[in-house]
Amino acid sequence: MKVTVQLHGAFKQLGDQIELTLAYGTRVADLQELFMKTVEKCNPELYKQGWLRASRFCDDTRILRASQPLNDGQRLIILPPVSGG
Amino acid sequence: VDTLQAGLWADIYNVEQRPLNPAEAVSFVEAPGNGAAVVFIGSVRNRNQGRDVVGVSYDVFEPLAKKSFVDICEEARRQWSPELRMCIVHAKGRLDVGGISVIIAAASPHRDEAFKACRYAIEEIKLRSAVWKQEHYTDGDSEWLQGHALCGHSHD
Repeated sequence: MKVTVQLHGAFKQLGDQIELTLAYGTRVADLQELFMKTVEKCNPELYKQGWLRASRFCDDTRILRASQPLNDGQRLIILPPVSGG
Repeated sequence: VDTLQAGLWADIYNVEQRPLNPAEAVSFVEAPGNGAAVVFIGSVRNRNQGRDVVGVSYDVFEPLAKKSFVDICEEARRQWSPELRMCIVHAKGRLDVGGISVIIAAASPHRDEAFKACRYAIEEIKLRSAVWKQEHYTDGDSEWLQGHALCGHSHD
């Protein structure tokens, strides 16, 4: 199955969004691992900056739990550490 | 999320099309019963962490950012006064030095509640709202600032 991750903050260096192919039954925690590997491969410099461990995934209304299963075609948003104001 | 409700207004402006306007925020929170209005105006500084800054780009995930603004205002009302009227408007897009990045206005019958609500809102926005800052420097370099990790899920 495929999910789309909308990118924000430092991850914008990779574009506005990224599509990832995952096994059915994949959970948010697995997505985070796969996302990290993808960033490590396509932008090692960004990977080394260490944003990923401190980032969260959300939908339009809330931050998702690590144990939450994902659905085919789902759109998620990655939230790196925030710096507003 | 209802971002414009009785006494509460939360918004994001694309500042490349529409600059933030303190007068607009103040006029929203004013009411005949409110004897005090406090306004916080955040703007882009020309220096940060020893580097000369020429501008800042703000990236915002609007649905969650607006929801956090509404939550923060509602928390302030519960904590200090249901009569508080509040407005939070945050910038999205690129600003030069001196450009206004955030406006918070709070008004209440007496000054104490308005000061406290305004202070609470800016501190919480920095910790919780889905906004990211990229600084641009005089040497042409740009950098996304390290910020506060959001709590919520991850290792449950």
